[in-house]
Amino acid sequence: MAPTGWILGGVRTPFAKAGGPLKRTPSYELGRVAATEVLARAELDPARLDEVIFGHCAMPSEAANSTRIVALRSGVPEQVPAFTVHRNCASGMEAVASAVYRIASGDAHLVLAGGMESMSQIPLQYTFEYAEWLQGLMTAKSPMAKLGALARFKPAMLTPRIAIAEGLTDLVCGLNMGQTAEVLSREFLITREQQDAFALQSHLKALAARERLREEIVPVFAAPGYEPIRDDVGPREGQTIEALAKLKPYFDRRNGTVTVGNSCQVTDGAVALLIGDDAQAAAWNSAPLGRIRSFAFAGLSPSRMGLGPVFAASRALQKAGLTLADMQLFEVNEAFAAQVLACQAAAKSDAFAKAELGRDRALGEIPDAILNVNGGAIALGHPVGCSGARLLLTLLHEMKRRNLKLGLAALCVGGGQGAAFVLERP
Amino acid sequence: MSIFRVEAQSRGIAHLVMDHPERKLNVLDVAALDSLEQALSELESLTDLTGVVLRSGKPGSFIAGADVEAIGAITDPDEVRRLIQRAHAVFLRLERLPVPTVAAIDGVCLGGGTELALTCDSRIASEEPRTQIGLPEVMLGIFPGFGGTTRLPGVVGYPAALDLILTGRSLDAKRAEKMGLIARAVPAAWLLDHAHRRLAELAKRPDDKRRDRHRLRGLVPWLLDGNPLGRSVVFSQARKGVLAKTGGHYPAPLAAIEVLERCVGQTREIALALECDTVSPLVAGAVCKNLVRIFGLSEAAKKAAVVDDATVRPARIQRLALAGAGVMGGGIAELASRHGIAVRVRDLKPEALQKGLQTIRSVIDERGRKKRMKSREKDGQMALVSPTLELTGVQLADFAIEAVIEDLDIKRRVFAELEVRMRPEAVIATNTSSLSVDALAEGLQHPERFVGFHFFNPVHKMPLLEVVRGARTSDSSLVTAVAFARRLGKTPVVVKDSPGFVVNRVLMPYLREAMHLLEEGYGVAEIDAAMKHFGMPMGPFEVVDEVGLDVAHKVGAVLSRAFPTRMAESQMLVKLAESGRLGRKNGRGFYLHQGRKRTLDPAVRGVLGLTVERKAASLDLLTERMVLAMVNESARCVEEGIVSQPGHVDLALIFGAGFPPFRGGPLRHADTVGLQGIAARLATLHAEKGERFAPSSMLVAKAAAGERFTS
Repeated sequence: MAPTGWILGGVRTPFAKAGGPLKRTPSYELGRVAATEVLARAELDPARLDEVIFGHCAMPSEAANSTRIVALRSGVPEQVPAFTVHRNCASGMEAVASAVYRIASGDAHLVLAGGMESMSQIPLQYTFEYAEWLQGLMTAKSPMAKLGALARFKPAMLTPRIAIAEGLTDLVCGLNMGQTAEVLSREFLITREQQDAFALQSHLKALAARERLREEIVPVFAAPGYEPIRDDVGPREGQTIEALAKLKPYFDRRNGTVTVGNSCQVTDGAVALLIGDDAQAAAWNSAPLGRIRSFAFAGLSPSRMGLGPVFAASRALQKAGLTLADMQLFEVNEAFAAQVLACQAAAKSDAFAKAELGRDRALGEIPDAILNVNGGAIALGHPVGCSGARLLLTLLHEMKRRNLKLGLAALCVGGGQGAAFVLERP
Repeated sequence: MSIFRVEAQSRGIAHLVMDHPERKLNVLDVAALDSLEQALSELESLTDLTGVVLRSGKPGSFIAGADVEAIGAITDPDEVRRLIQRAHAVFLRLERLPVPTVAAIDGVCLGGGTELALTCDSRIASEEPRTQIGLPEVMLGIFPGFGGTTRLPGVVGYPAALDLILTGRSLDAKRAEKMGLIARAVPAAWLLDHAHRRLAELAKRPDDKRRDRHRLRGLVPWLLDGNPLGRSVVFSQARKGVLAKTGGHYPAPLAAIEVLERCVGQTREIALALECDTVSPLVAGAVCKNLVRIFGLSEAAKKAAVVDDATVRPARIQRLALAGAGVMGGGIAELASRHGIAVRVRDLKPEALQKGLQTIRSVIDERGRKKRMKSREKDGQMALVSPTLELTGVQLADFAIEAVIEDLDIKRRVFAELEVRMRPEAVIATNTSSLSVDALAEGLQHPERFVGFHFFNPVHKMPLLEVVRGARTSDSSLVTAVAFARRLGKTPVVVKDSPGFVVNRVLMPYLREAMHLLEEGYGVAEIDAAMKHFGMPMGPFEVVDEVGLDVAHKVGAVLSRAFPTRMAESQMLVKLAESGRLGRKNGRGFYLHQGRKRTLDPAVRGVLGLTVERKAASLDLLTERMVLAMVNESARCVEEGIVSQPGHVDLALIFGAGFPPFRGGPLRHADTVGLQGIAARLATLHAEKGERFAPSSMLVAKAAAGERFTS
């Protein structure tokens, strides 16, 4: 029996492009806003929580175990333990999975889980060589020793490390995320035009969904002037295929197809969900959002990481005893248009299923009409620590609106992994 | 059980322990002086004494001062002199013990407690927040008279001594160490260890250099303090500062400066004698009596029971639901979050919430600057405030405050919405200033949970809170509301539900009288000057400009309906508002405002259609009419049982409206002037000026019977 749990309620902050209106709001402040609101809307006494688990990729040095900071500042009593998880882009889903494992084992009944990220505030870093040199200078006692230290200085030491660029590059295969998308565009022959068309759709769908998305969004009053941010800052009004076509490929200047326009945006945001067991769900003071039927994580080659959703979905469906055709609604994270399109192609391919998924027939079709119906990360952004949780929240809200029973949410993960959740509304 | 006892320790050290058996905090009353004399005799007789540590036997507190009640009761200056001379003699014996002496201070150390510690050679204190060292005598209309004024300059220098004595402020251990008032700030756990160590250090010094002494370090301190010219500048600056702040109404600070100045270079005996001669008449004087009385009233307001049934306990408030993020709402949210209470603040528009958050942050930043709060502390306080557009997150609230627009229907709707969502035991309170609490409670399922909770603006500065008991308010709700007010650091006064409660009700006829005077031709500046001369921090027209002419008019309208004879509506504010004058908020009112600056607006007379111009023979004639209006209305508040005792009216007007504390409040002022005279003046004015001066029957009755309002 696959471990399950209930998503009782959830809330997220607006997602805003990095360097935009949320740039002065630290990640743990975004997390606090989402956590406080999900507790308030549920009228839940935080003392009832057994654990707090958030995903967070770039944890700031002043907030080690940022989830604990979020918990304490959201009024969660000191007695409730908290920890932070990191599975790259699937950190938000990993947090929920960690909650479900604890619930399934009986170690927890009610968990606050989610994710947070401020990609705006990812710092520039000094090199180790510079730090070592400074240390040498400070410990040098005599004037001669100090002179010696000064003489060892090299200007190259001051060149900062750009942490966000390093974070988005896989150390093992040496490709950054965009380059892995180029790999897939070549493998599945996905043209520039196809990617741009997909990107445009993401923006159009997101703009059309503004009103609907407000249901799941809690406004952030952004520092320093407490300006109210109520909607996602990312979807572009008046986006056209022509404007997209003008952009130059970003990751392969000469022969590439992937541009900043058909990639997800670097973004700030947070998500908070309440995960509970059957007893909690039965006694909940409002209708729970939905139930986690099954979930799975899968590994694959880091250079093809974009196909992660297919591998993970295959496992999750197997665990649930369901097929892709049973799924009535899909959320697949739009890391890159090429990557989502590649997933659709791979899922449809018998050859791929036989060679890579250990199945004798194709996984199935992910129809455009029921995929990312309210827009995706290309328009809304991808704050890496929490996107996984956002997919679950958004999927369930839309399943509720359409009165659907089964849905699938899936993510590709930098480093060569995939994550997928099968959600149901009984 | 003696108040002071001697405990012999090892190696010839003795502890002089103060532990007053009949009091929770150590107080230097007459019995304590008796006991100290005996303990000193015991110390003086010990043969192998090597050092003495003065400490308190009460964990967490040192000595809170002299007996404030006794200071309030004593009226014979000669009796005061004898008492002080005796205290001086006893303290001198401690100072002159042939061995090193160290005071070990943990907890509150004020007034006489500090003075006793100053007689020791050295002082150390614990670093806990509960340790506060100061000389607050000036706040009671006197100055340190147990040798503190004499001894302090030698320890901290003249500029610091003037600062501490004239402001009466308290220092924590770190600041006290920096100032030189104590030798060392140490963790409470090691206080006595360090006291013994200090004794050993002092023993190494030669006898005549044993006392901790102020050292001039650096050029500026020498310039100010190390030479007669610099000191005289310091003294004259201090005098100027006092006169600017007090208008000469408070004799104590000036007397303190005089003593300090005249004692430079004098022997201990001469200085103490001068201190005694100068402070004795002040202790016996009216200002001291009035201030001690107010102090007693405010302590009672912060501690006394407000219902007869002693079994009714207040509920503990952890979460506050707040409706309205305006100026008052923002201030209330900051105040509550400052005390660790989670606040869920709701408003209808995001812009309103934005402004509210800005208000909260600016108060936090202002306080943070003074207290040198770290940014994570400020962020932590801000994190307790959760803004929302929907009324969610209130189910767990223990207390709700409504601070929305002054509209009966809108407020009623807010209460109905809150009641549906909140627990039945939770108290719902309204910050209304002008509407009836009973009228607002109509429609509630449980009106017994409803109470008025009236803050004054600005919330973070004004200490008064009028807690309004409605006809159906339960004892439990009242007790919870009063306890909450006290927890928030406010001074609560319980009042009956009646238009204007106490403060606005007493202020309105006063403001109206100012407008009558203006109509009769006197000048705006003159009228304001008259009241500032009386001791009000601002004149009536300055107050109206501050509050806003629209707000003043609105409150005036409500009160004019309730009290048509005494507070008839004036068209003045309407005419000025129509000409675009709303007060400081838009730069123009009775005055022209530019930032903090205020200048007369000559056009005001024209707008108001005033043609007559008159000059008062003396400001007192103007003052008298305005003050009598306040006194008369205050008497009526007592007569109608709006408050449970006259002292509450005095307290409310001082803490909520800035009535000069040295006069003790409107009713005490009336008693001081003499009720017979007041009644006679009111009768004359009644005949001359009209119904609004009809004297309160209680006032007339008391005058006839030779009674007073205040004791």
